Amino acid sequence: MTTRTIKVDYLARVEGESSLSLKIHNGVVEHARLSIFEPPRFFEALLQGRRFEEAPDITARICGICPVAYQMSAVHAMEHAAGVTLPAALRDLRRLLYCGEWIESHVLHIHMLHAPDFLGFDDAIEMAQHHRREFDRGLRLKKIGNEIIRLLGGREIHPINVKVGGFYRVPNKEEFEELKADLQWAIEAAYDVVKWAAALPIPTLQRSYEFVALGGTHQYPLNEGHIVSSKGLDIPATEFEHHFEEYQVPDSTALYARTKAGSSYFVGPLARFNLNKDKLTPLARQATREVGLENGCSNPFQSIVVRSIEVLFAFEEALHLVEKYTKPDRPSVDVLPKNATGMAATEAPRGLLYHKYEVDGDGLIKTAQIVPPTSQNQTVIEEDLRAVATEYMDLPDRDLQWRCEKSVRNFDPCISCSAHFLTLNVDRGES
Amino acid sequence: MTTPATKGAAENRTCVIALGNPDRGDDGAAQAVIDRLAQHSLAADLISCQGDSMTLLNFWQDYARVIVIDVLAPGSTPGTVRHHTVSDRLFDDLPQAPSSHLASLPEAWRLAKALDRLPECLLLITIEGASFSIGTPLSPSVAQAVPKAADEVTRLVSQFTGKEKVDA
Repeated sequence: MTTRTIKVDYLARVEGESSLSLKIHNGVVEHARLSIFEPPRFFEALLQGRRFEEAPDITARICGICPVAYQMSAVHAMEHAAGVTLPAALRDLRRLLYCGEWIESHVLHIHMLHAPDFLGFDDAIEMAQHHRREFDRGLRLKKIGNEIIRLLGGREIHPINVKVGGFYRVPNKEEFEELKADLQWAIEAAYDVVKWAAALPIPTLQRSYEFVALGGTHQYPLNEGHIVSSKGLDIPATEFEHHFEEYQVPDSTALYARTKAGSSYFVGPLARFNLNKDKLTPLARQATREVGLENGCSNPFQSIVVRSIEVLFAFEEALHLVEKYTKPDRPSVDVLPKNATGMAATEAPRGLLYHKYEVDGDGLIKTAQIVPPTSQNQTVIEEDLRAVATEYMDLPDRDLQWRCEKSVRNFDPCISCSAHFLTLNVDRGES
Repeated sequence: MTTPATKGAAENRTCVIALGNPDRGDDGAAQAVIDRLAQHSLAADLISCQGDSMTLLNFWQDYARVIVIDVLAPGSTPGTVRHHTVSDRLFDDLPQAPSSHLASLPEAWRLAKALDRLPECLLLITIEGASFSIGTPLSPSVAQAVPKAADEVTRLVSQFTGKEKVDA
């Protein structure tokens, strides 16, 4: 009987701290567990007793990479509780803000965190020395994403201009003029990134997933839509808890999630893409065809290509929104508190982000529930790890370790978010 | 806060960059330093970088001389202000701890070096922090260090430019 052990104490190139245990006994993967040991952050408790207007500013602090996502889910949930709908112009500005976040988050992940895996480099710095042109391009693209967030959000990290009801201030049309030229350059550059990512040596892994994302509108989803799935689900966000649930596991400070039927599901770029690719912008659709993904994608290692397609989409969408922009008469609508419960889901860069708040008649938050995308993907990440370990278990430990780390990075996990770095322990039972 | 000048104008100038999240206790000390510096006319652009160290690369290539102010994880003497010339060896000598920023300062520096984006002169002012809890003010020892760090920055800028303050 043989059992094998591989240990990675700290997974590199993911946001946050985690470890992995893998036990292979007599050629069978007996155990694959991703353990989050990042300390719990208690935001849901922290929100209790705070005013409903504070939710976007407090929840933005959950994550430095996707603060806009938390703000968007928070404001939409609060507006749902209050029975308020924003006019189209303000909804467009929120959509533009979200484009900025997708761009900076995806571009960072593609270039700094994931591409080194496919090119055989230990880190982005080593990769930058050999792929300088691509890196410079990526940094410039990220800078433009940051600029969108700064223009609309007031600053690049933890934006301060978002409020329940809209914004504290909206830009004058002239403030977008310099951005237009950057966006036009960026669209061409982002198309090149798609082709570059598609040409990377990408392993294959084909599994069957239930993809879950927003959908059901005429637009590629960011802030709005129903929750839909590849198994036919189509529900408003108010029914999220009728179909999905969180649960605790030992050795992890992050909650896991599953469908009510007890199975895993997959949120994020692959889910959005497979459920909404026909709604991509024109060049993004063209790029999709050019790289052969017009029929969809269920190889998680190709998530780097799908993320690059979403970057192209986000730039095209941003330019469209900037070109049609007319300054709204008011930066926000009035929102009066109600004794009510509000629920909303928006598409963070990493996937569906659900917020639910109970608010009393004085506007104080009684309870808060936040379900981040990385929590929802925990189970499917482990299932993929098990599949990858099964497929590649004949590799030497170091190579198997790297393949498993790469598999986790397919999901661009934001472990900080999910904890309300990978230590890979592979026990092969050598005796 | 001063916004960076256009590339051409900034190439012979100096900037001072505050690195850190003002909402996280002592991580906001760098911002407090440049808030203090902003009250006087310093011959340098003042820039806030609130967590994404990758944006440093954009600033570093646009200035000849850069002073970065950052707060270190707690050691034996919170509030200690030190001045360093940035090098590979510096980051080996500094206390090792996970960075609170999206990418660490050493990573940003090494990436800038790989991409040939380093300024002619890059200095680091560090303040040793005590507490980084969300929503808390500066701890007393770090608050006391803010004017010392500001004075150090002023002294360095005056050495670069031959004058502390811009002409009226």
